[in-house]
Amino acid sequence: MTTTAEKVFLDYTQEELDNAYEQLRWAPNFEEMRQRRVKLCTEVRARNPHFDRSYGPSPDETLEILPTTRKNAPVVMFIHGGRWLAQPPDTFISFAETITGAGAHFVAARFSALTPTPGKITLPHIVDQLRRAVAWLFGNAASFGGSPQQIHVIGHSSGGHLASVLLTTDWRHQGLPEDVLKSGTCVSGMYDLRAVLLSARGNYVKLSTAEEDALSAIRHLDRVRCPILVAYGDKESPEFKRHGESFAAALQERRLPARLMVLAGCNHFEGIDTMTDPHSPLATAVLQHMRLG
Amino acid sequence: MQKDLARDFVGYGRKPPDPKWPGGARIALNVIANYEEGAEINVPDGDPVSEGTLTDAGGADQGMKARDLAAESMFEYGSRAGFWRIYNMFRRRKLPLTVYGCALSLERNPEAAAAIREAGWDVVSHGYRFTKHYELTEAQEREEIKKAIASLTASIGQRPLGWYCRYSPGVNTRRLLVEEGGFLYDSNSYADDLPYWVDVGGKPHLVVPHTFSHNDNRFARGWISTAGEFFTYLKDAFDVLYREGEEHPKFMTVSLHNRLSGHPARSQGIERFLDYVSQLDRVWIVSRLEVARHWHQHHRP
Repeated sequence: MTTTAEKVFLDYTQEELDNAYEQLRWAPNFEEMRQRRVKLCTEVRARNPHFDRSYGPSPDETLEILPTTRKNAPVVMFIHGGRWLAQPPDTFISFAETITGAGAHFVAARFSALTPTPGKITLPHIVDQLRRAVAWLFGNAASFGGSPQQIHVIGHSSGGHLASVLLTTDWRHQGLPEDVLKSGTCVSGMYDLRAVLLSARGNYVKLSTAEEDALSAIRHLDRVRCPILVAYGDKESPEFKRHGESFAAALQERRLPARLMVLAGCNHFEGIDTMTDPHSPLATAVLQHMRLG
Repeated sequence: MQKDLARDFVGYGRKPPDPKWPGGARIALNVIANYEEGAEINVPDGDPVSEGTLTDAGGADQGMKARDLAAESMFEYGSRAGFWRIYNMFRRRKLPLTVYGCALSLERNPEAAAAIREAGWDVVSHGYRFTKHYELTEAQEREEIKKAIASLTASIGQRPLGWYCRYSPGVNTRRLLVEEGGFLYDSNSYADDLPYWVDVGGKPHLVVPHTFSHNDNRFARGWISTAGEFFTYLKDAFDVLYREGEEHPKFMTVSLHNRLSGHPARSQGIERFLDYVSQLDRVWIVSRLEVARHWHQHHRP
């Protein structure tokens, strides 16, 4: 063949772009990592007190909370990844002890999921759920010894995207202080949805142009009110590297407090996994970032 | 909703919609700087002539078939000095400025691109360069649009979300922008005071109309000559819209060019206009992108 395939985004052909959003191609140990995470979560749950709270009417809208012993402690909400698709609900707490050990409450957010063929749950719906989760924490953190003045978010992958949307939310529209979030950490996330929608993920992520715009955090940096730590692994796909680099660069160009961390030797799943070791470079940086280190 | 390319002489009629501007504003005011220098028709880039449009030479075609060094340098003034005068005016006042950026122009001045990026201003694609879209085939135009998006994304770090053609758009332009899928709106129209929707292949598409009235191109065309005249012209327009805005809130676009309003004498008229509008209440001075977002959020059909 001498014909050149058409470029659909930057220098990517359709096939290359689809591959850039297919993690299994870049992280062959995905299944091994997943099993390790499931085992870890079981162990963490066995070792620590934990309880669930509802933040909304849907059974999907719950928070799994692992409290710290400190009173009036910071609250760290984690938003899991998984392509915005359904994940086993008990697998989001693998690095909870890193947080509770540093004196903050760990909160795993559960929320509805997209389906592999477009259904009634949409990405704006999920974002609305997570905004309500933050509102619930602000109103109810005190009930489990948390400080509503010290709410932080961490997100991984599609959860990194969702965290970035929370970090570029005008909270005054939700009746909350505009600086309700005190810091954000986005690990291996996506911050502009155009390329995502052009990739094979566009088959199940269906958004209008206005929704795409509203949910592309990099386009709303004027709403950032707290420091943001952006991280990605140096073995990730070129798209996930590009997302991390361009988000951090855009924040820094606006003179916003932002830091970029490139996680050496890590693929898409190994990066966030280093959070289980409280002394790993990422965990150390995250704890310092939240003023817990 | 009017169909794309169908002529509509009626529009909103006697009952324009309430835009519901934030804070109950009577008027939303968007100021644009056209950033075009380096994208113009010029001999060094392989064109047969060098264009002198909207420069102090009056834009008259001198019939030169060689490099027009005078015209070239009048363009260069726009990006070397004029842009920074307008830039400083808006930075000092902490006001948003919308940039109609020709992609090639911003490629040729990375420092200006960085300043725009850091200011967080919205950049509307003003095409890759001075390309007559109405002369392109559909395939050529699709390619031209892609080239502009890729270049502006590289210069600004974010893709453009609006489009305004340097010359008349072609009959395919709007459809191709919708087909591309990433644009929130285009401004290839002069048909109304308010944004409006058109039906493009069964989908609603937003048009935020541009203006040749509140436009400093009146200087180059010889219709006005002093900053005072331009100030009066803009103030008159603003006063009418502001008065009408008590009942039916309005939208006003002011369009500037680096190589026109960036000159000291003319810039003074803009300063005076901004002084004037800044001391009134219920004026929303806003980027074009925010207006488009607002219309998507509150007025989607």
